[in-house]
Amino acid sequence: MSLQYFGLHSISGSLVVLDHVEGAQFDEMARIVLDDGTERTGRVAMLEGDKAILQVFEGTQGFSLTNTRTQFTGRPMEMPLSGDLLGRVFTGAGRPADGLGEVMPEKFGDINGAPLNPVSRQYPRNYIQTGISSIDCLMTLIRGQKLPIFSGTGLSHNKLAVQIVNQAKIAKAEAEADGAGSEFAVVFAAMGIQNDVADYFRRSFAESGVLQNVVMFLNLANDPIVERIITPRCALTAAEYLAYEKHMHILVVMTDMTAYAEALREFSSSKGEIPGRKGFPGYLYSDLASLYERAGIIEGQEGSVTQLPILTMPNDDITHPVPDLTGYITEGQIVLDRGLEQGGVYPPISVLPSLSRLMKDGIGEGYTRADHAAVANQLFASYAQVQDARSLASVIGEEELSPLDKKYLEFGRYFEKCFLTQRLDENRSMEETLDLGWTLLSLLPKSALDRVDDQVLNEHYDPDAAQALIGKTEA
Amino acid sequence: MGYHIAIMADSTSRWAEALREISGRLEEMPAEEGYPAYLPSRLSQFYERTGAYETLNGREGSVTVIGAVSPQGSDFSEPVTQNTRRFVRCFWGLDKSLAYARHYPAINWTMSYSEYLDDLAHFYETEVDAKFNEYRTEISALLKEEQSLMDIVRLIGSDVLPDDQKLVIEIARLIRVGFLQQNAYHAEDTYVPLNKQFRMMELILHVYRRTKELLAEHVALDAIRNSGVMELVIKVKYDIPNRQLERFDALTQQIDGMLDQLRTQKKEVL
Repeated sequence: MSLQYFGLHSISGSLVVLDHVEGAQFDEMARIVLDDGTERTGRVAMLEGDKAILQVFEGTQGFSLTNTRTQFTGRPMEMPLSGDLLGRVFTGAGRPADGLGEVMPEKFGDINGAPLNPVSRQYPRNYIQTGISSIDCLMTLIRGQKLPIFSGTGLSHNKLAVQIVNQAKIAKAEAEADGAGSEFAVVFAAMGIQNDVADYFRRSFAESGVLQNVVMFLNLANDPIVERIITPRCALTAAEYLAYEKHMHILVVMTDMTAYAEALREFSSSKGEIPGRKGFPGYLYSDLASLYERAGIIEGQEGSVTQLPILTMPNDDITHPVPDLTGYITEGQIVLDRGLEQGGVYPPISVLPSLSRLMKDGIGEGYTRADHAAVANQLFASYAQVQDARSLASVIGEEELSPLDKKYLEFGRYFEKCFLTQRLDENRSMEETLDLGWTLLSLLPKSALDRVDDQVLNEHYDPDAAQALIGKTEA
Repeated sequence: MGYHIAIMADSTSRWAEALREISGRLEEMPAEEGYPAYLPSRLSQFYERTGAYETLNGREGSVTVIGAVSPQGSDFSEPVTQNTRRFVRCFWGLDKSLAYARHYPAINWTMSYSEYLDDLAHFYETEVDAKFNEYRTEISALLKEEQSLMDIVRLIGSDVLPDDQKLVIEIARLIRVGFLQQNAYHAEDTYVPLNKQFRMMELILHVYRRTKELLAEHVALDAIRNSGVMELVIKVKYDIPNRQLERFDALTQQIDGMLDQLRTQKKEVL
């Protein structure tokens, strides 16, 4: 029987302080038994002299200074892992929430993850197809990449997340070539989301039949914040296990990172740490990095971990600390735009500020199609011209524009209507997406397409198809 | 007990200020604007108590919260507003300039949103009309277009706009004055049932489509403006009582007649 500590020194929020503690380790777990027999879990958050500060996961309601017995386990927080995780739903702290009982563990994994040897990291190559034109063509998601979605309150990022989870897959030919070893699965971590949103995710995945390929971790808005801090860590531990030991390609969708950062702020403030920008702790950057950097591919392993964190920008402010620091760490971003959403465009992806930094290495011949880079580049360039034409039109009126600028306005309208806009159940293949891009570009005169070389252009330029598309859209 | 309950909480800003005051007395570390760092979790604990439930004896009940947030100086970027918006899925933003113009209810149509639209789509389709959602999208797209056109108009006046864009502004005025604005002192207009709302949207969009056709046939926009059609549409909210929706058919015919007349006049001139 190991040492038990009776009583507490003090309680503050979700933190409790123990006195005269010997040999406790930082980050180790503790079991706290109350006098009425109920048991709670705590984690050492701070050690100071012989004082240990524990964060209690289930909250400290009902604690008094005398009614607890605490026992340190000597181990960090661990998550039971097995291939049977797929199809299960867990709470934010990794406990089963679907009534199907405990997981039969093949092993236990430290939720802080194993340190990755930087040398054995492999450079991400090859892509994940989401079936969403704007993402697949213009900001392709690469395996092992971390690509956040910057959204705002009230925008359709939840819908987009559901669509991506429903449709995401790796190229078919390759899945077959690799054999049974490299399947594709999704780990979904929800932090601080509302009850009905959690229900929406669960229902949508069940309806589309992907649920048996998804591991869900749900931390609701009214769940304890301490649990919210470990939710992404549990999810990533499950993802790493499935990727590196079960050889699967895993896409980790984490929503909402702003709620996570706010939980971190609340926790930091209750520990009495000095606040930094907007009250967030100074270590917000390194804490976020410790999550985001767990994406990647390891040499000699077949699987990969790809991250798609979703965060809501408070007041749509991209300079807020959370999107700002996230942008430093991740390899690009997908930005959602309120103006597009109001104009009835779904998914409301704002093309110009969005980018995928790793895209250049995962597209083109052998991955998607030889002309992918050309069409993506030209679409970006032409859509940027559309913005110029629009701002000019707002000064001198649309009538007064030059014929070329009018063409740009037309291109912009159809680009938003046919390319960006997609139904929730519309899964476009890479071929369809790229062809659609060329068709739209053919609305513009050939001379205006200056980012592509003539050979490629001649092969794909087709004004007749463009007119046919207009006819179809208007009808 | 199986009731459907709506809680009006006015105002959560004062409540948050009380929280701030207590937190200050407790000498806690402040986060944004002096509010404690646990403001978001307290707000979520409040809003997450809403929901639909089945009671023990099998009845259905629900709790709905309508929380009023009154930020200082109408600054929607302050912490209470921002955090509240993270936990609610429907937002009605009241607009000072609309209120000053006595546009009641002063709900700003570009800023406000509801995330429940998809969930309710089926309800509208079966209970009101299959086209309800389509019309709704069309109406909000028109309002959005009007807003960007107004940016131009404010800079250089409406003269430079082509006729079809002037028509958009004209139709958006119908939507704003005839549909969105309601008169709380008028017996009919103070409560408009969903099926009348639908008929009103239908009428406005019908007028839009007809007038757009006329413009394409080179009928002058001024002629349409002076024909009195627009006024008829705006008055619909008073003229047709909530219980006599069949009168919309007659009105549509009357308007069609007036617009047809414009077309024949145009042909006679030619």
